[in-house]
Amino acid sequence: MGMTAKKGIAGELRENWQLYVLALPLAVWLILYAYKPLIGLVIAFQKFSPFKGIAGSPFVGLDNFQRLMAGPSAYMFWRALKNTVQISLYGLAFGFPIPIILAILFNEAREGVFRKGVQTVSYLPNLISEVTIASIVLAMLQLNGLANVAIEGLLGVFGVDYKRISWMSEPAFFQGIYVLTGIWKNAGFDSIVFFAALVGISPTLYEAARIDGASRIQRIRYVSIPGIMPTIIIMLIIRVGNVLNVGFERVLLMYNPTIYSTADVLGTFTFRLGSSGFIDYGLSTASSMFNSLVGFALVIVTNRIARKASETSLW
Amino acid sequence: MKLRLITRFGALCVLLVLVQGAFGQKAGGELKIHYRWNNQFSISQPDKSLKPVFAFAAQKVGVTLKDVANPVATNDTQEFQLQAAEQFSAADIYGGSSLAEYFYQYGTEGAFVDLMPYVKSGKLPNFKKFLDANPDVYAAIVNPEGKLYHMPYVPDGGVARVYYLRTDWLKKLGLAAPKTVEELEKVLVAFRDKDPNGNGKKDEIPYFNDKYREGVRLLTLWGARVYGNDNYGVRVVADQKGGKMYHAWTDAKFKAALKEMARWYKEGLVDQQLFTRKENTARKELWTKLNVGGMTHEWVASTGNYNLDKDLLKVVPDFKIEVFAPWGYKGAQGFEEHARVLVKPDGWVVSAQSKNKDAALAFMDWFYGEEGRNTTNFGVQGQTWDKLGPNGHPVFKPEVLDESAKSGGMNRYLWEKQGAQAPLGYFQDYEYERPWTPELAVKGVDLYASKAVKYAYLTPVMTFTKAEQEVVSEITDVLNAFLEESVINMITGKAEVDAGWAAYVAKAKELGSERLVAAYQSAYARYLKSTN
Repeated sequence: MGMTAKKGIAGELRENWQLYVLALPLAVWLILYAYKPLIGLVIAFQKFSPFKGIAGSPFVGLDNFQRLMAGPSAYMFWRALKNTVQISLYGLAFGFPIPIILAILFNEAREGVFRKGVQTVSYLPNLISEVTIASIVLAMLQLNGLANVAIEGLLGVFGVDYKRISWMSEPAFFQGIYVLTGIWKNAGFDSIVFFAALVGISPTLYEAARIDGASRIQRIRYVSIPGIMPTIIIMLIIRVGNVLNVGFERVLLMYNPTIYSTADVLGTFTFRLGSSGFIDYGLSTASSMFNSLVGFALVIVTNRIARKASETSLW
Repeated sequence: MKLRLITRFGALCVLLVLVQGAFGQKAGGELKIHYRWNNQFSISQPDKSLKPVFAFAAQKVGVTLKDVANPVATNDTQEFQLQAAEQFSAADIYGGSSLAEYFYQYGTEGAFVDLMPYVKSGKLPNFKKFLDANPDVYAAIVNPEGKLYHMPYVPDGGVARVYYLRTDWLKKLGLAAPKTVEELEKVLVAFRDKDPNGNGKKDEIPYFNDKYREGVRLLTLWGARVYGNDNYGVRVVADQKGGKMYHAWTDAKFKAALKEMARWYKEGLVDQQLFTRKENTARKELWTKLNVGGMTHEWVASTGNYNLDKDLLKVVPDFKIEVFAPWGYKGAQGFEEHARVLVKPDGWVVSAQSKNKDAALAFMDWFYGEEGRNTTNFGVQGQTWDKLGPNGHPVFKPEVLDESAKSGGMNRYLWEKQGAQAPLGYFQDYEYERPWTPELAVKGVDLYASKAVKYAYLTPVMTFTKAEQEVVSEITDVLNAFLEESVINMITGKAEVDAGWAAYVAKAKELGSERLVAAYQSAYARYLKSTN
């Protein structure tokens, strides 16, 4: 058994060496830039000073985690965690189905210049930087910005009085604004994956369904969606794994002190802890590590559920 | 044959270069410097030559300088931290802005040279002379163990922010200049209601500010203390020298002032977007663009320049803002709380790994001497100024004043063209600012510098023991974040001041406000002893 196994590896390498050489640069990159830096995680358990380095900084065990979750800043930490999870779940609930629906609509539309044009236009917001998007959104939602002016005008047509709302000063609105901005930016681009999967469904299945008398909606429900179900599940697992990675950049650009209660997420919370200029590396690393650990656990759980409930899973 | 000729020629060239290098070196040797400021400048010009001030300094001290900083970095603090991870082995001199806490931390960990022995032994004569003449600077930078790791940037000129009010609007509405907070309120109400910008819309914003943290300082109008000094993070204050320290934000006076400011906010006298507006955009937006801004609390010189802004005067020809002394409430004398801080957390240090410590120290000490002070404040003599004026300070050439006004201000001009006014270890000279401060602003500076304006007692810049520093570092950021959020909610009306005050103070205590005050109090006791 051992002999066959060894011959297997050597033989495998001999037969397919081109593939392994192709994969080699990526493997080297992965080891150097993704795995080697993991050594730095030990900083989460130290009172770290860049001058002393990892080897020279004192070990403090779970002190940083304890301070993070039960110390003076704990109430801010838990609030940030709550906001992060809430924003992610909203993003998941509303932002996950929309690219799928978009892809199905593109698929059902007749192929031609119009469809290509709409698809291209829907991808474009993804190319705009977060800074530009944040500026656009903030400018539109100002007291005398486009949103207020438009609503005022619209309600004015019906004779309804409208007091202008300062959208970015009300904690209740932030999460919705954030999620909607994300959808506008990413839906088109995310739909590409689903569209590619849809295009891969054999047309004979649609033919057979039409012959059996299925309407368009029924064809979507019984052919399209099951056809891309593996893709949906994989994308969902990946998405769930990123639940705690709510975009630090966009939140930082869009939030302000009046809405910290719903806008402060884990990334911005750790950022503000270092805002006096003196950064506590141990605490920040502990916060990021907590982030990653929870994401890791979620991916494992979701994968297991997916494996039990369907034939598709990441591993 | 040819090959031998080429090799011989090559060897000769190498020899020549080496010889040239040896003679090119100055007697004091070579100093490597890692120094950046403003997230864009280092000691070299884009063409790799040294900026004039540094070239001149090197020549005077007799050293050769080498710039080892990253020329295109965009985050100076990050660059400094990267050097920390290298144990500061790449250069002899390190420095930059807002690094004082790191100078202290890494200094105690052994990264930098303790300057005190050199001060005492006479190796730093200019710096020693300055410290002897300024005991409060000494108390601010020498740590409790008697060690000093950096040469600091000491600003000059006390007046910082002042109250600016639209006098063109006062004139238009026929109002008298307000003398008390009560009268000021009536003026702001008139600004809000009587349409002084004449466009028929009730869009005026009586009070606004470029920074929301500065906006919170408006509470001083009603007699409350808000910040300890120039730094928005210090909120532990004392009412007079030797007085008992307390936390400004949990004081009863603060509560009373909060209620008034919340009322002003509710009535539309304070910018409704004070806390949501993008920082540093309010003046441009509300004066130059929309002409709706009435009053603010701002830096005297730069804001005074709005009176001369051509774009603004095209749209609002009568625009005029003037400086007013702080107003008092209920008969009390008003006071100003913002002044230039005594010592900035900027400066430079000598690496413990330096092999050329004597030369490095001599180089840094030069900037505190008279020639060095003039050069680093005004630029190289002969280039930006020729001779001293009657008051003993350099006088800018007229073309320098002209060019700098056109190219974004004197500070930027000096940074770019000369490398002057960099936040290294030096004593600033206010006289560099006076020539380009507009006349109205100069009057304002003189007003605030006179006895007519009372200043609050500022919390001195102090050094802490390791134990005290731990308390301060642990509590400050989190406590300030909580206080700010709560106060903003109270000002904007989302929370009731009366109803929520007890819980607010209790939570502040839970987050450590009293322990923080205790740490400051013990550092203050030490400070008083050393400055008496």
